[in-house]
Amino acid sequence: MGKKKNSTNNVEAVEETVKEPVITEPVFDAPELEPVAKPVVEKKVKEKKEKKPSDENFFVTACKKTKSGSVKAFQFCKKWWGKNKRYFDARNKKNIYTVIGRIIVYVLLVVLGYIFLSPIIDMFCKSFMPTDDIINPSVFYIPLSPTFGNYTYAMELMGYTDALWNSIWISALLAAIEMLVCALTAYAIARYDFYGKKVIIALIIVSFIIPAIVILAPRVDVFVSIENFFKFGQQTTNLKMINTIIPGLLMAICGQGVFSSILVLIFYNFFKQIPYDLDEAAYIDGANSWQVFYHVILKLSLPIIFTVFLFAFIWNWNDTTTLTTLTATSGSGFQTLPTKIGALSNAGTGNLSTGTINLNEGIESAGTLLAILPLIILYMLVQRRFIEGIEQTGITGV
Amino acid sequence: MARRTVFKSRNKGNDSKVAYLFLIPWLVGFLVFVFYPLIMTVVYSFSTVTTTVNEISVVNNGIVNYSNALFSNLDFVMNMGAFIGMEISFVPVILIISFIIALVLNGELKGKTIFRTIFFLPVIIISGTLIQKIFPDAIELGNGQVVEQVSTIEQSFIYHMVASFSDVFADIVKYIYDNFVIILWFTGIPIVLFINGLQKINKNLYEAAQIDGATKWQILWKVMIPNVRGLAAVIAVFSIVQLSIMPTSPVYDMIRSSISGGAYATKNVGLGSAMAVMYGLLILVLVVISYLILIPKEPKVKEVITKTQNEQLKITLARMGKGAAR
Repeated sequence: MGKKKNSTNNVEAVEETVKEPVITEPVFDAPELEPVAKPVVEKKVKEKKEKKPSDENFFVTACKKTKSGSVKAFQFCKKWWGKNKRYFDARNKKNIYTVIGRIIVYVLLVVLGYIFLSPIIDMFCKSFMPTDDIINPSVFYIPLSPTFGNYTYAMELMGYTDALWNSIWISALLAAIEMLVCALTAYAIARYDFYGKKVIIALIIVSFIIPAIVILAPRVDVFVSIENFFKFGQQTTNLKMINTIIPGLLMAICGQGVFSSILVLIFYNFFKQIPYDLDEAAYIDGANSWQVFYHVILKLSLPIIFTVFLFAFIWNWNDTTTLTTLTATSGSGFQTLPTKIGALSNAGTGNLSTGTINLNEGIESAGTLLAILPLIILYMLVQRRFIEGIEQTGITGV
Repeated sequence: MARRTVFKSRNKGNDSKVAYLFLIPWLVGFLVFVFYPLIMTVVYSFSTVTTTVNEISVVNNGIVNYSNALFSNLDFVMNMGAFIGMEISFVPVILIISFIIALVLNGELKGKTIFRTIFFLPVIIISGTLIQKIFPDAIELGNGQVVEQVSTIEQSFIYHMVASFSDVFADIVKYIYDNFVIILWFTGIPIVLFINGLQKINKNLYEAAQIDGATKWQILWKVMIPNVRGLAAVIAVFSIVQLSIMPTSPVYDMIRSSISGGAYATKNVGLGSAMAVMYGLLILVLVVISYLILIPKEPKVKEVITKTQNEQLKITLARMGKGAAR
């Protein structure tokens, strides 16, 4: 019974509340207000019109008497200020300071962007220049008689297609191996609480800080002794392992490829973010560590695996230290595009030391552009993934 | 029950076994390709090394290599000096410029992605040989033949102003001006990292600062910079290492040519190793110094808390009549 009473009371209350606003709504008052408001505005305008001559009487008379430019200019400024005052108000969003600031920012960005790209723009223009245009000091950026001759010559000189194919497959292979090993290492650090964990992390950072050049000579010796070891004492006169891709592969398999430690740290930071509950659930269902690694961790980190692969690919592509010392010494052996850039300079006809000009600059820049062209195309295709990837993964993770 | 992100195992021994199973490839690689070569570099640096195709003979000769590198070969000392100068002048500029660009790109701006793409491009294409092609001066520095060029900045007003104040600063300014493109080419990853760091800052901090009446300038100095300071330390370390492994480093080519033989130097592994050891130590020192300068100091709040806690303890002890004596 009580409920019913309540409900009826509520209905009444609702009705009351519905009625109340209808009565008190100011909609009916609005048309009454408008005619009141309008004459006020008109009055104001009239007042202004009446006031203006009286206010500026002094200036006008002064102007008429003296007719000096300075007073006119002052008046003009005053008018202008009245009109544009609001743009100088800091409370206004479209004020002049933000506009100026924005212009400065854009100028800064454009100038910096130009400086960033200037070597490439320079090379691009030079690559179309025949030798006459390069020598000619009046030619600035735009060649007088553009040719494609530099490109065809550079392609022949570099053995472009072979080197390109070599670059692509070796970089992809090394990147894939490196990624797998780095993921394993990162998994161990991120998920296990083991003796000497801090030491291992410190060693990973140390192996990043030590420049490859410092430990280059003994590394070569290590490969020599590895080869001798596998030949069981029969020392051959010609070494087969150096000048092939095997040293690079071995280094990648052992997690010491190009910037491997950074890859480990990226993976480590990402794996830490995956909740441990998922692992626990998998363990309870009877999975072993390897299965957890593959089915839980790797499959969850697929989005960053692509980014990491791209980075590993590019770093391997651009790496020349291991390549030039271990896989392609003295211009022979396995050749990739970056090593071919170095070979270009030997093809020059001029010599700086004897005072003649190096006429080969056009061919050199054409070759260099050709060598970086695949990377630029790749970058244009996936640049969003690159930058967003690096922002998401947060290499630093501090 | 707090949620665990890192597993604290009860059976640490068993866990260690599994962990080290996963770590095997990396550990082997570290021992064979980093640790052993590092030790051998130190050994080589104290000996004369002659290598034939298959054999390496190592004969101890004391500190001859070091004395050769430091005293009879003036190029090395000069180049090390140039390297230190390069790091000292490049790294702060890299930090400042990348932070400014990151600040600008972090705000609302049309065409942000285009600029970001341009600024990140060098990261993609930078490689040792490309640097040698684009900045040939870097190689000439590497061979110890510093080319004296009259750069345009020497005629400018600012240069004279700085020069009248101090010659060292003037040299630094000139050096930075001459190598500005190289510096910019190393700012790619720092820019993206700084953007990342700025976006991670809690937005409540800005709001709190604004409510307290802070201007944008104050927010920059009191909120943004303290928050990205740890990141700056990491970026500094990264830049130092990047600069040292590229041929832009003046010492790089010297070590390389003396280890593997080249156009400008006869092959001398011992000497090269001695140089390499000193180079590595120098880099380590630079890294540690930059880290110590930039790493954010421990907040003093902790000390205050511990002090008050101690006082409270003393008070309670005194009340209990046990620790009245100081």
